[in-house]
Amino acid sequence: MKSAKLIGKVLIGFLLTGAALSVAIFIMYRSINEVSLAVEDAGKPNKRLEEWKSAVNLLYEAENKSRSWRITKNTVDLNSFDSIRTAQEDHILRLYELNIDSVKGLVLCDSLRLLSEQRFEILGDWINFSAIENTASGVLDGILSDMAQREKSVQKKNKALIAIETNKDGNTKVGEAEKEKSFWQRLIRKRKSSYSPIAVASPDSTRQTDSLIPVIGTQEIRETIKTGKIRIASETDSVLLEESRLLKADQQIMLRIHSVSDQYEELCGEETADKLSAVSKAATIGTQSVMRWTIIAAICIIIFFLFFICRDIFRNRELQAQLLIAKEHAERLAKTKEDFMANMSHEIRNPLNVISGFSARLREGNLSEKDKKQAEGIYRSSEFLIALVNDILDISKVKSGKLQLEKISFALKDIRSDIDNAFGGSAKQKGLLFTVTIAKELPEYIIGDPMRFRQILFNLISNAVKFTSEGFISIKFDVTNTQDGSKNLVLRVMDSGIGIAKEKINVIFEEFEQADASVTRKYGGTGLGLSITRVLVHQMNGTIQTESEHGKGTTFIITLPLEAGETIETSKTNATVFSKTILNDKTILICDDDPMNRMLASHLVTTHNANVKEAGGGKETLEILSKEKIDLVLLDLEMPDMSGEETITLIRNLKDKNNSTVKIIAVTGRIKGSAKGEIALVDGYVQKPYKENDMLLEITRVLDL
Amino acid sequence: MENPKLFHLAEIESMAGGDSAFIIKMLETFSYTVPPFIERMKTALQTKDLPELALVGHRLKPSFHYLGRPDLNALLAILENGDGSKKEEEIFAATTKFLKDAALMMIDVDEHLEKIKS
Repeated sequence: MKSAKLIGKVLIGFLLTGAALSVAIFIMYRSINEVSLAVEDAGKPNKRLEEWKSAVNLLYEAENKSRSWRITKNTVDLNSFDSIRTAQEDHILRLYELNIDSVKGLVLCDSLRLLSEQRFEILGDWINFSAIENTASGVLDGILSDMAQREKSVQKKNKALIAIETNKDGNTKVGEAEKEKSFWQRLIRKRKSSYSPIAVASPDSTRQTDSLIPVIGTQEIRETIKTGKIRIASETDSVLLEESRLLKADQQIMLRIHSVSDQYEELCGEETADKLSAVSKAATIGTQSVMRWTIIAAICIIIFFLFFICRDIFRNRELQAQLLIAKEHAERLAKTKEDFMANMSHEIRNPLNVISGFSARLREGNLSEKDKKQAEGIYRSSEFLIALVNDILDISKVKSGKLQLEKISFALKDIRSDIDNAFGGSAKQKGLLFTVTIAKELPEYIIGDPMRFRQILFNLISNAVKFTSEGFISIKFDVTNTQDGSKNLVLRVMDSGIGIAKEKINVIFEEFEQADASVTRKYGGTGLGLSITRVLVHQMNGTIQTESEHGKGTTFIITLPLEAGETIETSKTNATVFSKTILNDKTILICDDDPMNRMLASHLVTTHNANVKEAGGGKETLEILSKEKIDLVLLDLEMPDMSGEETITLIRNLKDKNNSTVKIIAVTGRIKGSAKGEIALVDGYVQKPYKENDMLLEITRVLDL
Repeated sequence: MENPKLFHLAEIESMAGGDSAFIIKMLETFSYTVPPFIERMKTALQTKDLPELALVGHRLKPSFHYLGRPDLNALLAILENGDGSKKEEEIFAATTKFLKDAALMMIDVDEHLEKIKS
């Protein structure tokens, strides 16, 4: 669940990051696009400037054409001149269109147009002067030729004079006719008003010459012509001067055109600078935009993650606070549980023992069959509850870490003997083959906790006895070598009982779990035995395995680290199993009418540091209990003055609550079955004759030591 | 310590943990407490008081167990007749045999006690 939430957060984070990056990339793309367009626009040639230069270049071309015409006198050049002017006018018109949004541009276009017109007029005048120069020279050559003919014939002179007169009237008509034929003639006529001295000078000189021929002699004519020539030369000089003036004017116009062109280029330069500035601005804006959006995206992501981090921190704090509360609660519960367990051992077990004991006695009394069944039910339930309470106390002790395992030397043969004594009889009663074998390779003594070791085995063997109705029960002690050179003790408890289904093998070690409900119903049990066994094995750094087949039997294999113990003299074996101080500060009352029994028991418990009180009968026992605080009573059930049952009942009815709930171990020579009633009323049972080990085991079990 | 012939101290020694005073005390207790019960048993045999025989038999069992006489304990178990399966003749025969063997043993215990005390 937590993992899914984390993945969700990461995905949201990635999505947000992706969205922010997409926006940033889009903005970046748009900005770069704008910059690109601006650069492209800035990189394009300036049409206005191109048009201007074209217009100016045409002025130079027109000048070239006029110069060509003056050299070659080819009329093609004059036609080109006209075309150039027309083209130049078109360029200027386009310039007007291109500068429609610029006042300064329009003013400069106006200036260029006016200057261009002036220059074309000057060039036209210049071309015209060349025509006049040619005409005047030809006319003079013609007059000189005519004058030579006049020497031959006066008649011819008159006729010539008449022809000149006739020519005088038609000259206008011919000029008008030619006007339509020649562009430059039209151009000259157009400028006649400005340059009238030149235009008038030529016809006047012709008329004067023609009118003088009939009235003066040849010599005079020659002189006249010479004079005319001189005048022509003088006028030609004037023309040249005028031409020079025109050239100067043209130069001035060109200078002005250059000036205007410079201004125009400057204007275009400003425009280019504006474009470059726009590019720079676009780039700056784009960069800023990208930076802004990137920063916004980064801030959004940071805020997003900060939000989650802060939220998680706050949640963690809340959870820590909750955990602290839960821990305190758990500790309180653990303390309560501990107290409950402590109380249970006194407050629950004793009444349960009483219920069990009396119900056992009741069922053996003179009851109807129905009442006997009910008494039997009470007895069995109370026995079950006692077993359950004992198991719960055990597992509680193990889990709370209060169980301290001893590490002392003990004899495996004693364990075998205990197994035989505890289970041999019941196994034989069921007709089972019961064997206990110890491998020869095993040391005689091993180090460990004999009591818990015995508890582990007893739990497994009691299950084997319980669940096996025919066949065998085999217990084997073996030794194996480990990889690191040490040795393990391997215990196998095998039976041919009902077995465990494979799917249930792991369940049986859980608390309050058995293979199935029917097992509980049929065989009883608390479901804690194997759980306690496993915990004990683990606490001994061992392992437990189960091999089982349903209906064919079960094998439990326990592997424990093996440590050989010191050899102990037989006489000391039992005494060394338990710590010498295990009964420290415990006061034990030994109630037995047999002084040897009392002496033996007294010696046994005082050896383990207990305080001892002795009573030879039931009355003496009650007397001592009513006066002194006693931890445990070892009670012989066959004392002469009072029966065991009576003594126990009177003890439980004592006013002193401490002693009324005192732990009692019944000590009797009777077999367990015949003393069931009394045994059910007490906390423990030891059969005479007992071994020191058996007695100490029972004492430590009852006192929870 | 010389080993006695008619009883065994292994059980008591194992419990004594090397405490010879405890062994002496146990033997003294045996020597002091058992004879009255022997007398009660003789009387019960004469009167054929089976419950008394059973009671005395039960009472003496631990003492003879501690002194390593399982054979005498087996006889006492017959006297005790816990499951009620024994016949009277069988119980009386067992009692007679027990009284005979126990008397010999008691002499041996007393001798041994004197030895170890000295």
